[in-house]
Amino acid sequence: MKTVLVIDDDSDIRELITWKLTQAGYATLGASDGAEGLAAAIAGDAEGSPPDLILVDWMMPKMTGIEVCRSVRDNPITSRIPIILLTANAMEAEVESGFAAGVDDYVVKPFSPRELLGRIQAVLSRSEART
Amino acid sequence: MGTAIAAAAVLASLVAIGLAARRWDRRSRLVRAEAQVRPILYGAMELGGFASGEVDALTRAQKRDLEAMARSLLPKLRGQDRETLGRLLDQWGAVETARKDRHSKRFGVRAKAGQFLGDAGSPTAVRDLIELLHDHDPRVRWSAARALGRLGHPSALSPLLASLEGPRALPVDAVADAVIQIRSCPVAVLRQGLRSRSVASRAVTVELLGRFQALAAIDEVIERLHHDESAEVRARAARALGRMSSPRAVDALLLSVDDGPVAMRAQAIWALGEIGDPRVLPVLRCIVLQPARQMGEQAASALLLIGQPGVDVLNDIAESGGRTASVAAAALASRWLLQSSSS
Repeated sequence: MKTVLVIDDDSDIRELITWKLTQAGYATLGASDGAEGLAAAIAGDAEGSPPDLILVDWMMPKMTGIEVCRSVRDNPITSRIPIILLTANAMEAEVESGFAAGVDDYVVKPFSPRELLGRIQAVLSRSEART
Repeated sequence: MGTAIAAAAVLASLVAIGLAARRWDRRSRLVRAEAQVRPILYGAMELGGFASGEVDALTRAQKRDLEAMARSLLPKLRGQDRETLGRLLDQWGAVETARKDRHSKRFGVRAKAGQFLGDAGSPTAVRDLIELLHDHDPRVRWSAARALGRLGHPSALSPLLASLEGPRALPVDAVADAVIQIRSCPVAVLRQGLRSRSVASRAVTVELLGRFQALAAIDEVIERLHHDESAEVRARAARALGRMSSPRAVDALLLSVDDGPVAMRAQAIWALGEIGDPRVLPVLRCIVLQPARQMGEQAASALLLIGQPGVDVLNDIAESGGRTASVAAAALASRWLLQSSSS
């Protein structure tokens, strides 16, 4: 069973995504900020079950999604985990900076949970094909 | 005396602890209540409606929590799930309540009603919100404009543009922000606004033509840049040309950086940076070297937008050690700070 780590400070969104993922047969981990999310990813690895994908919101207090992404990429334990960014910034420059930080895909808010699920499946398939 | 103060302090502490405990208890109750009804709402979203008798089995408090959760989730979603939530809320009477709330005496209730009607997207929403565009409170009008933008229905275009006029006019940017979300907005309709006698209409039109990057209207925007009687329209025209990013606008903008209203000149300088044509480098260099510090700083920022060729010009000025070297050095330092914070 694939595990998805959902990092979002908005509990409405975190709970809905978690529910949808569970219904689709994924295991989930949740975090309400970037630091907690990073800790969860590293702890998951230490326990032998690192997340297979990280879904992270861009705008969060303490640590933005982009900062989370850079930290994930800089850490050898987590550097290969694919990342999807949830963002309200669909402007070209913002999207570009997301990809520069190492995200694999992005979804614009307000979002369609069905589309998000499709993107998660696609990113996981690509990641599996690479390894 | 000392004992009385100590007693008062203890009492105040006890009251504070009691209030905090009550808040904590209320919060815990809400979290538990939400956890109970959440699967019911998500399930209904999945199936497109509630299972038979599912809602009837809920207590009144649970129904209230369910509705609050649906309202909170609605603006965060799009697609089928959003449509389902909107339909469920309509079935519970939330849309009808919001329609009634449009006539409330309290502006906050009217503004919230407008926001909800836009989120729920009921068939009558456009008409209801257009009515709110004429509310006597500017906050309600603004909320209605934003909601119309979120709905994105082309029939809202004309009423939004009309709301720029009259004693209850909306600000240019409020209308522009709403119209920009109506993606099927025809440029031909917008162009008519350039001939309007109203400054606000012309201002919002050039603003939108720029945001839509409507290159088909570039000559008309250049015409507004040179000849409009309003400084605001000219400044917005300069900004619009920058957003269009077409080399065709360079000559017109170069003519505008030295002469005319200050706001327009500043926007023209910035626009030249956005377009980034090599012809603008010597002109921006001259502006940085001029004694007018404000324009010099704007030109330095515009040079940074151009990338390496602009940075080379700024390095050259900074190393010359002249009077304006500090402007170039400050721009380069801000770039360096930005780069180091994002790497």
